[in-house]
Amino acid sequence: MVARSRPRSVRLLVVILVSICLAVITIDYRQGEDGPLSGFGRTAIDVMAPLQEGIRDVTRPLGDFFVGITEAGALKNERDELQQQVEEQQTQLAGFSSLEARHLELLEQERLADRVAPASVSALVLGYPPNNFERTITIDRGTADGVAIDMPVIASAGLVGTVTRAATYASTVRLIIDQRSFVTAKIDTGEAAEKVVGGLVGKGDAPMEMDLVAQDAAIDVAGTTGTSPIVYTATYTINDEKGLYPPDVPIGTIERVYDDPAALQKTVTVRPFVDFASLEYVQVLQLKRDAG
Amino acid sequence: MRRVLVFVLVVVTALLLQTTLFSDVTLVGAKPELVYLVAIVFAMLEGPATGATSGFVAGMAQDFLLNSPKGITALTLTLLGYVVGTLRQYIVSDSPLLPTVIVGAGTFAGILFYGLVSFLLGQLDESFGYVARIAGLSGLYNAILTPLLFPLLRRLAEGSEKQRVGRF
Repeated sequence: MVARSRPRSVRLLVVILVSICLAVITIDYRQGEDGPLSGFGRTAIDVMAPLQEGIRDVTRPLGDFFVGITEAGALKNERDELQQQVEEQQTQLAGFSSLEARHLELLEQERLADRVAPASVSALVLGYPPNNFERTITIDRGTADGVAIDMPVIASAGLVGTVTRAATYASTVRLIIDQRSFVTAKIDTGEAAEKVVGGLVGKGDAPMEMDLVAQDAAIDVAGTTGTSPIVYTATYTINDEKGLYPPDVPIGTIERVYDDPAALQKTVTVRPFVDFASLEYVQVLQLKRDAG
Repeated sequence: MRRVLVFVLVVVTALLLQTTLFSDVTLVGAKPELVYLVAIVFAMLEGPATGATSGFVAGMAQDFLLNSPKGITALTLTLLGYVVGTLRQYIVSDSPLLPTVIVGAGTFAGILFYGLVSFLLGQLDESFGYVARIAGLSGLYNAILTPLLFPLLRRLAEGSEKQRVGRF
């Protein structure tokens, strides 16, 4: 009797836990960021942010080391004393270069931010999502620094994404390559820049896709100057509500145009300028989504 | 109490490493799923009841860091912990490869289940081939990490168990 009741109690426990999971999924799915559970999520990223920053500082050299191995594809096993000295000097130089590169990156970001928004705040990238399907980053700025949901985020190379969750001291930014991201964009074709407008959606590791491009739009992938046309953010107003992004922030270059004469629209694939795997600093544009 | 603290510490460490170091150190573009690894190992060591409970807690902790509906990872790991804990009771083998195989296969199945639930909720727009590829690579990555992490996790679990027995 005892032997039977034990598995039964385990099954009861599993049924209770699964029921709680289903209830949590339902509540959070229906209420989103306004629901009671989103507060726990914001607390979680606030608690994890300083820990992530500490771990990031400690493990960054290790991460760079492994990335270096992946990129180089080989290891050097034997070195004499002279080679070691040279490598130490190179490492020091690389360190200076890295600092200088970060400084330049921040300057470039601020320059771009000043051009497209009246106010912005620099943020350090603390971490990436814990699973393989989301494309987000966690940054070390939150509502205490003036960051709010829907604010655009940029790097020096171009558009990064938008703030989707803002805790007090940290925020989550959805990258434009996330499959739930949508950006109204325009293609700079030189003469008819404003005519070629479409909706850019994220496709994860694959190039982004720009839909809703007019079938008669003239897009020359090679470009008149030998380079692919550049895709920028575009403004739009629907039901008196402005889009999320300021105009003229670079996004990427056109990789391919799918031109099916039978289709009502063209589809364009876009390779983003920003290297999302190696983001260190970003700028949050403190723009409010005013009615237009 | 000590067991709970040890488990919480392990899950927080796994989440921290997952969101920082292992975002850089990927296997053909895929990260390991350390929280899955922890839940599976605890289920193997402690049985179905603790497996389901630890899977629920670890999954919920991961869910609160994600930007999608909370509870999907918790549901996945609760069921995975229960299934692994139950199956382990029927497997009689002293092979040192057993934990590696179970962690690899469990991670693969768990990610496929997570992908299916996310797809049904309209939260995932990836092809089945992509989800299967990520599940395979993450399962392989977890399997590679298991010989390194399993002895450590077993020592932590046994250490906290001894303390509990000693007190009684």
